[in-house]
Amino acid sequence: MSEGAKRGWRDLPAGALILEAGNAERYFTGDWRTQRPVIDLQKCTHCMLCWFFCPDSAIRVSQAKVEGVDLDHCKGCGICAAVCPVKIRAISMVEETQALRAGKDRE
Amino acid sequence: MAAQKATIAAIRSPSVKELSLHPDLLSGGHRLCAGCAESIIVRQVLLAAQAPVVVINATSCLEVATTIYPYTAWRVPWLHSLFENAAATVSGVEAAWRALQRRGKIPEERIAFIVFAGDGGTYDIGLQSLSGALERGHRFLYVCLNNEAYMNTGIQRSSATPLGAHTTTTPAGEVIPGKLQWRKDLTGIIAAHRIPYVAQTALTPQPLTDLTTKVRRALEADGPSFLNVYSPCNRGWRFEPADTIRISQLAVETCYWPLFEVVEGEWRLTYTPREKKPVAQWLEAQGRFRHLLKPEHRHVMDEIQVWVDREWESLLARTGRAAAKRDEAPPRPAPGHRPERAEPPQTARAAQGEGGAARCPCGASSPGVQWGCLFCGRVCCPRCAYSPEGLTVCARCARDLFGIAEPPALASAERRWISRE
Amino acid sequence: MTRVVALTGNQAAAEAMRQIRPEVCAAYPITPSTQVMETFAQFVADGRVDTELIPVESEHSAMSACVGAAAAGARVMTATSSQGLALMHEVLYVASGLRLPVVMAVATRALSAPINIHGDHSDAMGSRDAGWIQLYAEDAQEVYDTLLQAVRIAEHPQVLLPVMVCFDGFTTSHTIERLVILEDAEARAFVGEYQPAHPLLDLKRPVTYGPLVLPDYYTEIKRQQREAMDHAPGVIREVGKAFGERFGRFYGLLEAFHLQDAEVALLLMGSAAGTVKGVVEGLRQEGIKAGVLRLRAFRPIPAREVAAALAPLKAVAVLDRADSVGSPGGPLFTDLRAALGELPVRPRMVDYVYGLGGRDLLPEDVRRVYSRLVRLAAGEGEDEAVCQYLTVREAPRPLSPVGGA
Repeated sequence: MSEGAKRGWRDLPAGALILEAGNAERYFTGDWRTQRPVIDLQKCTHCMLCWFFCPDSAIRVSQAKVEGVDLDHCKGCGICAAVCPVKIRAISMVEETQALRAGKDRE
Repeated sequence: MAAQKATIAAIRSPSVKELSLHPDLLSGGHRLCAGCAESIIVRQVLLAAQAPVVVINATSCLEVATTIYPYTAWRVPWLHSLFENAAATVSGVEAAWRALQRRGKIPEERIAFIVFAGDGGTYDIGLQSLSGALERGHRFLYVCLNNEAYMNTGIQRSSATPLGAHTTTTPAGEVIPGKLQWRKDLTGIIAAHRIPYVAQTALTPQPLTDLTTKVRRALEADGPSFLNVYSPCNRGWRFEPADTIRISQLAVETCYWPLFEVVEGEWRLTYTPREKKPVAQWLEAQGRFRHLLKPEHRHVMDEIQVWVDREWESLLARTGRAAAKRDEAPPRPAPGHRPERAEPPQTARAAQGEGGAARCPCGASSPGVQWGCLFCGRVCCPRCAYSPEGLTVCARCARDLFGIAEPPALASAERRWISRE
Repeated sequence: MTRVVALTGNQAAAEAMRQIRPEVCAAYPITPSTQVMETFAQFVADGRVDTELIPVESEHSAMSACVGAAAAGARVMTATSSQGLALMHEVLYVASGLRLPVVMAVATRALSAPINIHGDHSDAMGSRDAGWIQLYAEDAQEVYDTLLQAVRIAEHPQVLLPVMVCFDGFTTSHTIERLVILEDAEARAFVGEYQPAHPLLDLKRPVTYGPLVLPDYYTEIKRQQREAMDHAPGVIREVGKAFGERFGRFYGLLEAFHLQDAEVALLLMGSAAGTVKGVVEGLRQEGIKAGVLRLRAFRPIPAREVAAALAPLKAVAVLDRADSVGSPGGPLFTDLRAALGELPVRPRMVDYVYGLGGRDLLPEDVRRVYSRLVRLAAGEGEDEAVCQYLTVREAPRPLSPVGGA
């Protein structure tokens, strides 16, 4: 999942500093996943618990509303589905193979 | 001081919806395990902080997984130096901030200096530098991501590992049931530094913003502050990645990991479970305690319950929620086996083992003080017991497992004891 | 305008630090460098310098705080000795690996066990591969002058490496000498302001310091460090020359004494050079073509310069104030022997370990070495070991009134 050619020693910042903050978002951990969260936005109450407890900053939110899952980074841990309130259950975990077969590569 | 105390206590976290309007300062694409609690904690800490943040990270899972060169998940200035020196390193950063401001080289601006370190980097190898930095009074927040073992090197025991837990250096074996010692009361040790704000917290839906509230309070404190954050590790503790938050909540509901804070020396509970659940529910949810379900180790589970009860009671007393009973002296993490303990837990198994007589095989009819053997759970009087490093092993197990000669008092009783079986 | 004052080496170091005015100093007391920070702490207490002094709880934390402050963008200094330097060991690599120009005064001292508080170079030699520039001063004047230069060397954009200024424990650290001190303004103007390229406290450009670097990049980062160290000799010379042009005392990588026409010479570092120079003056009067080569820089080792200076000689002896047990000789010897390896015709070369744990080096010890060199230069065969202990008691000896062994 690396990008481009690796630079030679003359072209790297001294002391192994990383000068581009947050560039890890270009590293995709989505391919670790064996299951993926599917959010039923009809049921979702936008309580934000899934977003609050996501280890991978992978629940996409905007203006206090849940919009979907960042599948480039979601590792499929299932915490979001687990913390979704029992009476709502808006998130289900779907086997990755099943999801791919259904052609839902991206939400 | 009182005003300061009241001010801090009045601080509340914004709601989760409000927090969601803030940018995430830790990006995705880091390589912590799926379901890791650490990045959840870090995200919440960074979301709660209002001032610009500068992070100092001790060597840890968090450090290696978030900054695999040439990628960094951090959108804030971040510095890692070594394993045991995060508190000393932040001392230098914070001193530089003061000096550079004084000389007009950087703008006058408040910065929240936040250290993240694991329990190894905090309870063990980093304790000296942390103690020094707290005593010197640098203004920073130290967050211990406490997953109760050295996870970065592959699940080795630390002094935060609970009794009975299996780790790769305290493996549960045929003879020894996992770790033999209680965890260290680090939060108490930190509070003993009399810094303005110390708290214990966890990732819990109930109360939902305990962590973020405490971050806000800690950052308001005029001096060093410390958060001991419970950080379940699904790889090390053996549970499903999706259960991270459930395990946290269970630790809180069983009072194994109570949520409290010490504001300017005043101890306060920040959450009381409606119903204190048996600690077995929390233990049974984790593979690291699986061996304790075997009948021969069941007594360790009982010991853990006794310990949790004692700790909880003393915390209630300290926070003014219950009358101080035997708590005039500072409460100590009551080891199940300490010889000097006044009221030892009489384990169910130990009592049963002696037909309810609670009598040492040597014949001591009223030993006064008794211990349960760590291995077989039988009662043994202080004269007969073998007590290496504060543990109690009955004379028979000491002989069988460690080759310790049985005490003379037992020699005659031994035959009787064996024949009874 | 200058002032003539009487100070110990430690006080001279503290005086230089006061004039340099680092933003942060973090230090922990240890004999024989304690006085540096004591003196400096008094300067801070009296308001004579506005440095943030961090009285840490160990040397490990001292260097850690220095790393934090330097990464933050501050100019940082400290001082230590012996066990303190040893305790800092792993942090030394962090300072150099993150390319932080920390400057540290090291009053060199023996290492335990057995415990000994007196001077030798064992401590500094233990950190010779830590990626720090190491400069060795002969006396208090040089301690002062070198610290002022060290800041410029360390912060040079082509170098950006930490610097140790080493001077002999007690002999230099505690002996009061007469020295010339610059006016504060002159010293400050010479040192200049530190302009960090990527300070941690630049909130607008968040930088990640100290990431995990795996096999795909680690070598490149280390290669950069070698390049930086390769730039150091030129910069050390340039700064030493600039200092000389301004203040009249010139410095380079090494100091040659009567070496022009010499046939035999001693190579060494630190305060013992004074004793050796005295002996050489005497030998010259006797017609012996003796010289001295004192290294000021040990890291980087000025290999080419040493080789050029020694090529015409017939026999040389290295005086090592530390042993490297298990290697062919002391650390200085093995390095210099390698440096001379390129020469088509080499002087014969032997090594003497001397002055361990504060043992005095007496003029007669030095004479003994020169007489062996004269024999070697004359081509006389011998069966003595290449590496020997010079100041060691081989057999019982009555107490000496001059304190020698």
